[in-house]
Amino acid sequence: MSCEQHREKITAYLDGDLSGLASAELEGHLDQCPECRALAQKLGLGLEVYLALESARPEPELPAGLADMIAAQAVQEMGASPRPQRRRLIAAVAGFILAIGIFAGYQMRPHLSQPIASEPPNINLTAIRFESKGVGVEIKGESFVLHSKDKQGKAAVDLKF
Amino acid sequence: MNQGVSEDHFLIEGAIAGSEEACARLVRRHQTMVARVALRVTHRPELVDDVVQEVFLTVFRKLAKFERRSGFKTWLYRIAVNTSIEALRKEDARKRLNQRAEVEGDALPDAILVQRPQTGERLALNKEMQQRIHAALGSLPTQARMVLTLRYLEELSTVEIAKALELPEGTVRSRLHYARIKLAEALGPYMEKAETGKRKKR
Repeated sequence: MSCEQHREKITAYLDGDLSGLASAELEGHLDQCPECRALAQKLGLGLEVYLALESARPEPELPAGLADMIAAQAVQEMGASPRPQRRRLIAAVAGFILAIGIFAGYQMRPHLSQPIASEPPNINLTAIRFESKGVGVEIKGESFVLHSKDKQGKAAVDLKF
Repeated sequence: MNQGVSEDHFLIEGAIAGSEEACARLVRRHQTMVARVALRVTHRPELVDDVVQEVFLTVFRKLAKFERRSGFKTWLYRIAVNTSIEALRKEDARKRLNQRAEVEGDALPDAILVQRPQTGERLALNKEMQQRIHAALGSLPTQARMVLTLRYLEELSTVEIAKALELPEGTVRSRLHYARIKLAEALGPYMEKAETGKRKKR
């Protein structure tokens, strides 16, 4: 094996990545060849200096609020481009709002004409629950809550209006 | 290690579901590592904050498609390295390359002792020497700094580096060897100066 071929193995040797046999062979060559030995020493020292210098540097410091800022931006981007799960959710919301709109419109009709002595609307808006395409919807008073479950059945997203 | 991996997975699930808290926690868990890589690869402290931000935004954009085969950390290293290289490329395109030592003298220890591996002989590097060596590290090819950082500072094996960079292991080894040669060349002149006055061996 030529010097060049031996030299290519020096880094692996210094790092302990060479097999026992290959290491022994290279060591044998290094004992005999001053140039290759000098290179091995230079490479070894170069790394020692590099490590000494880099270890002496403090860990980089990042601004305290960076993680929160990144998270806020990431979630905003995710919201802007809905994924399939969220598309179902948004479709469910849209459908629900439409339903509410129609329902509210229907309820308003009695007010447009003469008051009729009929019983008041018997549908209680304070407790409605239904499910649509895997999205649970619950109405409490003036607010409504949408629950979405992921594949494992765990609550993934809760939206409150 | 296992606990760390499953915490990552838990936070990843939360992040994909849109939890801002999960995203923030995932960032905090790994931001120092990403900053280290960014700093060493770019060798420009002023770029680090932006690179860290860009790395994690990229992570979150691609998170839903991330396949767990290679492991989150490996994937994160890849994005960190690529983003750092890209940031440096843009920066260099923007202005003339300036290799001034970027470390303030105050931040450096008065002396660093280095030991010659073969002889045990000790060399002392004063502040000025350290700053010059710092500048010399900046003049290394980016790719060399990259593999040196991953192998010796982040302590990844050549196999792990190969996975992170999507290269054959043999290529990683040659790049590492070449990087160490460049490192020795860059530091050579300073090593001669730092000799403690002993007779130099030929």
